[in-house]
Amino acid sequence: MNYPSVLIEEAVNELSKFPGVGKKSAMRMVLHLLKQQEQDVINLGEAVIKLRTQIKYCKRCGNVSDADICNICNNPKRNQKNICLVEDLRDVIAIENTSQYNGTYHVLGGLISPVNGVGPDDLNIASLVERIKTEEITEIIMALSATMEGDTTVFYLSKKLKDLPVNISTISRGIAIGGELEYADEITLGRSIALRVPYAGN
Amino acid sequence: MLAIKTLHLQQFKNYTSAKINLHAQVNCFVGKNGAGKTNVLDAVYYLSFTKSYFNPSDLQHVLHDENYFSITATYNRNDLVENAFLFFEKGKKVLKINNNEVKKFSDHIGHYPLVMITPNDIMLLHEGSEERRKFLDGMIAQLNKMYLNDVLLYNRVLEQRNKQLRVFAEHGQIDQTLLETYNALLIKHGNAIHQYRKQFLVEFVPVFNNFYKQIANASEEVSINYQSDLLANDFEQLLIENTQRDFAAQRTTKGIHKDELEFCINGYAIKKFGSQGQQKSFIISLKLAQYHYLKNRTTVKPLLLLDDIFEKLDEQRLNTLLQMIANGEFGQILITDTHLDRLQLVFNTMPEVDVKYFMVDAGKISELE
Ligand SMILES: [Zn+2]
Repeated sequence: MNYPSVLIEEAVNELSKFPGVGKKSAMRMVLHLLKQQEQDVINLGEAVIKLRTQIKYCKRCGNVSDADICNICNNPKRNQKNICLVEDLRDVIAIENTSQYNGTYHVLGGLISPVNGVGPDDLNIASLVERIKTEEITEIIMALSATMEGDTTVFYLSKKLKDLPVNISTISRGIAIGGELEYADEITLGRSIALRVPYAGN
Repeated sequence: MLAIKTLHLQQFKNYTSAKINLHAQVNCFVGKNGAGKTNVLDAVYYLSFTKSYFNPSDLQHVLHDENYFSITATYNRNDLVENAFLFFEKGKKVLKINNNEVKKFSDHIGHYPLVMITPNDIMLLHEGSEERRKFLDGMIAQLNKMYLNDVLLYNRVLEQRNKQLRVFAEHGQIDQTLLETYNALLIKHGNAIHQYRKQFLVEFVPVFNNFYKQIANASEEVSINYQSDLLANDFEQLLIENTQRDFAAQRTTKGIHKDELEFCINGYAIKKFGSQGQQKSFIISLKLAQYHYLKNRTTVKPLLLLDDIFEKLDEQRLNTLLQMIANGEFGQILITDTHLDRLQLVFNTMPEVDVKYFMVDAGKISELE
């Protein structure tokens, strides 16, 4: 595509890096931005910069946080001996919305998938092992998606953790079409956490 | 019963827009080579398998200079009407049954059971083992959703394991836990697939042998032998023993992705030792056995698509097939041919069979009165 301005070309190139956004949609966004009040767009830009530069992750669980330790980890009313293992922030939000879980989380930051260049070392696995060893964790609930990559990660971790004194359970599978945790409705997801089963391996 | 009542192609291959009403029995599409007869059959195939029989690229089925195609059909299933709609534009393929989107295409396979017979089928004998595994998968998948799911997952695990083997090679070492993880998943799906394939062939091969005897009308012995690494070995043991070999080759060297179907005549490979006639009999028997097997395990007679068979089959084999049509062994049939008189000559001898003729010319289909 040819653009009448380098500024537009740059903006289109950056916006089209979003998942599911092509050059056409990016161009529509650029036109939208140009029609807005200048201050509104500056606010947007600043929010994006702040988001990326000032965001903090909880030093304990890897969840997004405004402080060093997140609200969930800091809450004495929550069961600090339980860890719910999730892929990313979206899953934390989905599970919190069910109000069925009262323990802590651990955010892996992805799933093992060599095809996408993600190996075990790219995930927050070392910090998980460290937590189990130092925090007297009694139960880990693996709430990863029911995809092949989710299965791989659950299986791999169960092998890694097998000599540690911790119970591993999984939420019942087939909770949602396509196995994506974030799409499961709250009642189904809540129920599957309440009815979690001990992980039996293969 | 299962029969397509109406079929509407939009911007599909060489059709801008074509709408036809089909007969519940035999439908003949007549036209010159390149007129687009086979595209009609392929559109029907698309609605059963969500992809083309001939070409895996959806994009290449869009009419030249356009950006989408759609196939719409109404089916009569045991006197209930069902609407099927398949839409494709670059990067997006949607299938709707009665206006409900089908989320997982693999769930749809087997919903409209179908067998297609084309001159291309001879590839099954001459191409690599992958073609024969695909054929086997296609037969089992139409009857068993778990099977297709296992195949898709196995292939996905295999892809990941092979990629991981390349990563191990780069690092010069193996993460044993990760390798064991992929082994376990490969074993889980691989063993399931192996069992399904074994079981299927036990039931299928006698059906096939019967058809061959009928079609070839000869005394030679034919057989289909299932070859698999897993027949004599435990899969886990096999993967462990071949760890170094896999590591060196940077891919998985053992497993059901290496399965082979050996087609034999009097104990020898038919592709080397069978005559042309024997090879043709073998292929058509495979397809008819597939139809028969499928029919006995579904509540409806599968659709039968016959592409260009008059051109390719000799008289004796053709007559056996036509006799089966006359006997009402099939449900709805779609046939393509280049010569109207040839078809009329054949079907005029079968007053009990209802036939509708369509003339196909340069992307236009017209019903013959
Ligand atoms: Zn935290």
